[in-house]
Order: sequence, then C-alpha cells, then structure tokens
Amino acid sequence: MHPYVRYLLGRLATYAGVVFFAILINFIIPRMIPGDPIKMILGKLLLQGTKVGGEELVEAYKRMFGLEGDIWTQFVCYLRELLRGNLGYSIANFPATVMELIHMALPWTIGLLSVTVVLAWIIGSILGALAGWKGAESKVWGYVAPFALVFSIIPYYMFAVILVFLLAYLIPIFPMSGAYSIGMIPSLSWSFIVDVIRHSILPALSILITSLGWWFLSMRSLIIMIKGEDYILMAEAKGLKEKTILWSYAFRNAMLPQTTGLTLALGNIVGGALLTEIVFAYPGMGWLLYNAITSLDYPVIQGVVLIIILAVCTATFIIDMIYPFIDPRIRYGAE
Amino acid sequence: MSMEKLVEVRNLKAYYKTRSGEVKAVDGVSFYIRPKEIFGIAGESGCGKSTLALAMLRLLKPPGYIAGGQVIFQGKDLLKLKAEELRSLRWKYISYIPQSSMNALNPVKRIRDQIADVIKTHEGEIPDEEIDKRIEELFTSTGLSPAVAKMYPHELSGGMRQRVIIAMSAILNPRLIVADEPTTALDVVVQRGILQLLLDIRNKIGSSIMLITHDMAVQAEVVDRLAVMYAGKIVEIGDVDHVFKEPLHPYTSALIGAIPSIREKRRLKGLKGLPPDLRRPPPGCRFHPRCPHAKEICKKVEPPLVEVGRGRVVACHLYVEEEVRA
Repeated sequence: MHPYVRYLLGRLATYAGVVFFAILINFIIPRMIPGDPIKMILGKLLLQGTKVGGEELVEAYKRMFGLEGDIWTQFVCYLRELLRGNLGYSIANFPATVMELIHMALPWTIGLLSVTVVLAWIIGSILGALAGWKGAESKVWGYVAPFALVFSIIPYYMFAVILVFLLAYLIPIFPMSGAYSIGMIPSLSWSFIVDVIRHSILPALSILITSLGWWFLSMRSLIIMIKGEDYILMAEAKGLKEKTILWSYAFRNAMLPQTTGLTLALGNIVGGALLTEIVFAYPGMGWLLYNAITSLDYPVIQGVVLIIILAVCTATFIIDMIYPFIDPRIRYGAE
Repeated sequence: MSMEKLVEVRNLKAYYKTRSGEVKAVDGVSFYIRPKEIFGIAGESGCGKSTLALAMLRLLKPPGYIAGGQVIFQGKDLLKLKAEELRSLRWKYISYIPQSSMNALNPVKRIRDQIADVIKTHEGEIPDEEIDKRIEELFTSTGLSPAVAKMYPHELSGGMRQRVIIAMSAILNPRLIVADEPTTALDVVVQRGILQLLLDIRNKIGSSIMLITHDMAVQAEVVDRLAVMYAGKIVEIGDVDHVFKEPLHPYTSALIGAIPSIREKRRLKGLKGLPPDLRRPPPGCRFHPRCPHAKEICKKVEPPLVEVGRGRVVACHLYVEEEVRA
C-alpha cells in the first residue's frame, strides 16, 4: 500500500471516530434535559391556537425516533433519520424542519464568511510578511504593527457596532441590517446581487479588518523568526534576489502554520460570526442559533451544533490530507 | 605558488553591540589569500573565526556590524560595494559553506530547485534540461547520487547535506569558497570524505578555499597556509609545514601541543585559563595572562604583526625584540 493511502485511511478512521462521538453527545445531551420537548411543541402550538395536528405530531415523532423503545433503539432510529438528513422539527417555526432552516441560513453565512476569512488571510499574510521582512529598517511598517494590534484586539462585534454607527447611521452609505432589502425577492438578477453585496459590506468589513490584524501579526512574527534561520543566511550568501528570498524561502516556510490557522478558521465559519450576524440581523447560522437559543428551540440548537462539529472535523481532516503536500517533512505515519 | 593576492583583508574590525559594551570579535585582522590556495584559520571557539567569515562576506547580522577595514577582491572593496553589485558577485565569485549545514537548506524545497535558484539568478533563464544536466554532472563529480537532487533536505543524513552544500558551493566555479567548520559535526570517516571533496574541488576548478576549523589535525592535513587567531586577532600566519614544525607564537605551540597522537603515548599539553572577555580584552598582548613566556612589556604594549621571514608573520614580543636586536 502506498504510504499516503495508509496515512489517509488512518486519518479517515480518526475522523469517523470523532464524528461518531460528536453525534453520540449530540444525541445524549437533549435526553438529559428535564422535560419533554414534544409536550413543549404541543404547548406552543396550543398557545398559537393550533388544535389540529398535535396528536399526529406526537405519533410521527414516536415512530421516527423510536421514542417508546430503549435508548439503543432510539439511537439507531436517530442515526437512521440523521442519514436521511432529518434533524426533526423546529419548535419555534413549526412545521418547518430543522434541515430546512439550516438550508436557508447556511448559504448566507458561508457566502459572507468564506470570502472575508480567505481575503483577510491573504491580505494579512502578505502585509505581515512584508512588515516582518522590512522590520526595523522601515519606518512605515513600524507604524503598521501597533495599528494591527489594536484592530486584532477590538472584538469584531464592537467594531461592527462602530461601523454601523459611522457608515449606516451618521453617514448612511450602507444599509443597517439584513442580507437584502425588504421586499426584494431572492433571484439571480443584477439588482438583487448588487443589493446583497451592499448589505454584506459592513458585516464583511467588521470581520475582515479585525481578523486581518490577527493574520498580519501572526505572519509578521513567523517571518521575523524565520529571518534568523540558517537557510535564509544561506540564501543571501547565494546572492539570490531579495524577493526570491522573501517569497520563496521565508514566506513559503511561514505558510505552513498559517495554513493550519486558515483551515481551522474555515471550519469555524459554519458556526457563523454569531455576534456580527446579531448586530446586522444577518440571516445566517449565527442568527439562526441566536434565535433558537432565545426561543428555547432545542432541535434547532442541536442541529446547528451538529453542523458546526461536522464542519470543524471536516476542516481538520482536510488539513491533515493536504499537509503532506505543503510540508514535505510530514511523514505518513510509520515508515 | 604565485605571490598574487586573490583577496586581501586589511585591518578588518567586526564588533557586536551588547548592553554591557562592544564585543570586539574581530579586531583589526589583516591577511591575504592567494589564488588556488587553501588558507586555514585556526583558533579556539569564540576567537572570532566565524565572525571573520561573515564579516568578509558582509553577511554579519545585527547586533553584529563591521566597524572598519577593507576586503579587497579583484581590486574592489567588498565592504563598499552597492547591495546589487555585491549580490551579483556572491556565489558566482565567492561562495560560502556555513557552520551548520543541518539547517542551511530550505526544508520545503527540493535540492534540485535550491541549486537551480542559484544558476537562474546568476546566469539568467536557462532551460530546465540544461540545469538538470549540470546538477547531475556536479553530483556525479562530487560523489553524490543524482537521485539526491529530487529529495528534500530532511531525507538526507548530515554528511549528505554537507556534501550537497559543498557541491552547491562549486556549481558556479567561484574563485573563493569560504568554508566555516565544514566537518565539525561529522564523524571522522565522513570528515575525511568531505575534506577530500574540498581538495578535489580546488584541484578541478581552481578555487581558493578559506577553511575555518578549530581542528588542528584537519588544518595540518589539508591547508597550504595557516593563520592562527586568538581573541579576535591573528597571532601568526605561515606556511602550514613551517608553522607545525616550528610554531612561533606561544599560543600556536599550545594548540599544536593539544593535538592527540595515536603513535606516541604522551600527556596532552592543555592551556590553562580561559580566552578573555572580548568586551574588555586585557591590555597589551591579549594572550599574556595565559602565556608561559609573558614578560613585563606583554602586559602593556600590544605586539604588532611583524614579518619574520619566509612569508611568516607573528604578533609576539619575543620576536619583535629579536628583530630589533638583529
């Protein structure tokens, strides 16, 4: 067997194990919560004045999740439903299913965050590398670092509030909240796309600038560290051009930890930038989770958490898979 | 051997700034290297050998800096060249073998690409096949398997990495190779191979080699002329045979006396005391506190480096007086 295949299988087994445990915990925790979630749904439905369908709902749930059997039967039924993509019904938005809600929220979050996270990473890494390389010799970069530090320390939601105040309230250039204007119907038309981009600029900016600071500082310190390595001195002795030494020797090596950081950050985006989404009422995963928590919508909380765990695990798995290609020193397990 | 000078170092000073004062690691060093010769620099750890190499190549990093002097190579002072002129001269004319070859190769680049970088930088865009051919020839002539080119540094042993770096140092047929302790981290068998490789390179491409090593046995075996450094200064220079047969400076005698021999059983003569603190070197001759022949004058007056015939120079009051008498 090729060593990479063996390595891959090992990682895959770990991945499967972690996911299984995540699902197990996600299954157990709601069952430890006192009270009966289905009764809660019924109560809520009654409050809303719905009298029809209550009994059927109880029956459907019992059938679907084997609620009358022992815990193992229930777990098997839960897994079966999970594989079908069924995470149950939302309490607050009955009869919408959890899957439907996630399906609606996920694209907004991924769209907003994948772009900002990747952009922040690229810009932050490049600026950080230049700042670390020029270092003390350059006055300009000396002033940039403290700014980056300030921006990386400001919590992103605080920055979001500041942005809203400045650019939506004082100078109303951008809309205050939402992902698109009320009354617009989501479609692939230009006017809708422009509207979406206009709405996404402030939330994107708040995340971009604060996470940019972090990537900048981390890359800067990596480059400063690598500058002292023997292979950099050697590259200089070889008479290589400065830009070759910076990008092909220093930056290339600093990219290793930086890539790990990016992958983990990408795994986390599925959870949404919770507070940013709250500040901007942005209908992504964070907003969904926030609303689910305030309305005690257990099935939705459970569903969102499961998706987050899966995303983080998958990101970690992906980095394990690609790491041997970016760092030749990584060995595929036993030699 | 011709009396021509390939490189001449004049009164070179390289200091390190520290909070407790300046460390004068290289303090007014002068010597020259002839074409095609192997010039050795000996001396115990911390005497400034490596700093000297880095200063000559202008690779000294802060807090180190060059406080004065000249390094004349092909009629130009390397210390005064513009950055770009210096860059294009590096490796093409003067290459460098660093002290720790273990980390001197970029860990994420294949050996081939690290050598190709040098060729492309100094000779412009050259087709890949030609580069591969040159690397293959180079490796074959330096006893490396051409397969090594495709490997990453971590896949090679310490000795192999050292061989790669030495091979790389010769790729552009430089006039001078500065080798800083190239054999120190290696076992004797590998050491032999590496030294032989350096000799082969000198014979094949006619480069001069400046060989820095504290190992007097290695010096005795491979170098043509030898300079002995003590506490940031050169104390003696001469043809290696003469220096070993008849060391002039008491420090040189002490170094030679400390070489173990397997033929005769004798007590090794050590040298009492430690090298001085280079922030506050002792007045007069820096060696006087450890010198068995120290006289009153040694404590006050610094001995100049004087010529004592047959191309030998020494900095010691024992000989200055003789000169005066003669």
